[in-house]
Amino acid sequence: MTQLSATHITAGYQHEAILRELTLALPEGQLSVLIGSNGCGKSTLLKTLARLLAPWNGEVVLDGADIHRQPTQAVARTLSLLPQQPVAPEGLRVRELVALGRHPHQSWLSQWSERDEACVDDALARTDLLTLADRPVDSLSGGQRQRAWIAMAVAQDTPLMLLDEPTSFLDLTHQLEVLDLLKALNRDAGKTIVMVLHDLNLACRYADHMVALKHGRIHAQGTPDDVVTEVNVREVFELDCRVIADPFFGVPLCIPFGRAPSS
Amino acid sequence: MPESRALRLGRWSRRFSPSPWRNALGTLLLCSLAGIGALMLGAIPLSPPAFLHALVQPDSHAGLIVLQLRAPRVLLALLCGGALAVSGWLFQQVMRNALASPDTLGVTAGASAAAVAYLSYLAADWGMSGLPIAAMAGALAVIAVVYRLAWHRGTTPLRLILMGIGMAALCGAITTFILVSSPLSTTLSAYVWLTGSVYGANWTEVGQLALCCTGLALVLVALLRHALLAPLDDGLATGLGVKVQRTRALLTLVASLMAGVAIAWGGAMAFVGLVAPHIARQITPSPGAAQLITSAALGATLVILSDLLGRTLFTPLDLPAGIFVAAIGTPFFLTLLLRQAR
Repeated sequence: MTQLSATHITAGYQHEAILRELTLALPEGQLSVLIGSNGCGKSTLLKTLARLLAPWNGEVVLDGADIHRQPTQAVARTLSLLPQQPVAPEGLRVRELVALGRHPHQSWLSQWSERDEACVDDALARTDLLTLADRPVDSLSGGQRQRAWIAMAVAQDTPLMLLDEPTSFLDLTHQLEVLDLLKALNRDAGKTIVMVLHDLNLACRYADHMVALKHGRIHAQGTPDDVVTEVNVREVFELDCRVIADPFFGVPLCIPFGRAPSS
Repeated sequence: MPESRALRLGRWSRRFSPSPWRNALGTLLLCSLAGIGALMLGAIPLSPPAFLHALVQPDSHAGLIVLQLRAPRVLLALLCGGALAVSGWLFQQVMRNALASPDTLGVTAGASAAAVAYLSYLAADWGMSGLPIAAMAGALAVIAVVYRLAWHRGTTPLRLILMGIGMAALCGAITTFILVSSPLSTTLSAYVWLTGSVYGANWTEVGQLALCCTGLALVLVALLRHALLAPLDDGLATGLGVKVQRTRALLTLVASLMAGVAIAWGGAMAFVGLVAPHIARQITPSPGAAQLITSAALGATLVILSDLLGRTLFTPLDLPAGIFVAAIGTPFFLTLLLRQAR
């Protein structure tokens, strides 16, 4: 079992605190989505949870121990991370990129075990990249490239995956493709997935659990039905909207009207 | 189609793609041919039979030429070129920048300033044997200062490169100042050193440099898998369990030492460090051990050929190899860039 939580974390950059006394437990085996307006601290929270950023106060707890006190390579066997807009090294082919995901499982001696090979093949198959495996990463389209990055995280073979805006800069079809892929990983491979998403309606459709942030604090969390209400959307995004039930999926559907006059 | 297979022996395992290794072997062969050519050619050219005769009779006149004059020179060129190419490759990986090289990081300029200072102020009393040590010390001092200045809760490649360029300019000014304020004879020897030359190499120097290079190569073998992850941005690398800052510092140190030893014995022909890895990347785009070996073999070939041209093209003049490193390397480099741009 894998549990990731944060207790009373305060974190930020230089002298500016972005997260304030935030406490959060991420439900195991579920797909959680962090939402909030620009600058609310979603990405900062994800980075702090992924130990890229050390909190000033409080601690991030992975499987009962402070994540910053665990060896980073051991953490990387439990938790994988896909940052926003990752850049691939030049000249790399898709299979080589995906194979980098095996790094935390390797040592000087063992750099391509049977397990490494099986995990990379599995990741390529799950992301439907087998036919593109020998193509240079530079030659892929945006959607294919994003799948290659997700394949790298899948090859890392961790029970927990954190993704920062995995759908940004993709068209709607490819956004859905990526989200379907992540949902399948969550459902079929039992992975706990935590991601930041901007599209509220897509978040409602795919999330088991939603966390709405405002000014570095948790404003609301729970199922999409609990979180995406007209009152909450107004408070979190300063947006006037109507929330109805999605006629096809039954989840909340937010119809935005415009910026709410600040109260 | 690039095929790859697994090599496994007990717990030891590696992924192996034949084509990059074929390229690596090809460039090593090229390097050997250049080396043999350089042993045979010179002011007194030797025919293949005469060359073989010289090898089995080291005390003959031809044997002395080949084994005492040419061989140390060729080997020194090989080691310098190889080490500079490896250093450049490593810098380009760590700095995630195709323009990174011992030059951009200030290592060359630091070694040059220290070497010129040594030649001007200390060589008269202490002799020439201290020159490599001075150059090494200069290289290390500059990379240490660059690292310190770029450090702010860790370093980033961009800050390192900016500080490196700044320090290179400062060291360049110091070098120029020493050159113009020294007597003409010192200036001349300093200038030859600055161009980069393996003139008058002897077996002792080859032995010293070979020892340094072997030690550093072993460290690199241990660190190679980390060097291959260095081009990933910090977040991704941390996510994969890399201790980003520690690895970056370690790899920068190894790259600086590699360049430092090469410059210490061969002078400042660091253009090799920019051009050889580039050509290697064009031949073998996949980063890995094979690409690194290709790069080293190309760097070595470039310096061996440059030295051969330097001592045969304008006989009886014996010109520093550094001139021809740029003269051969640049057109080749530009052709590749132009082909890439199309």
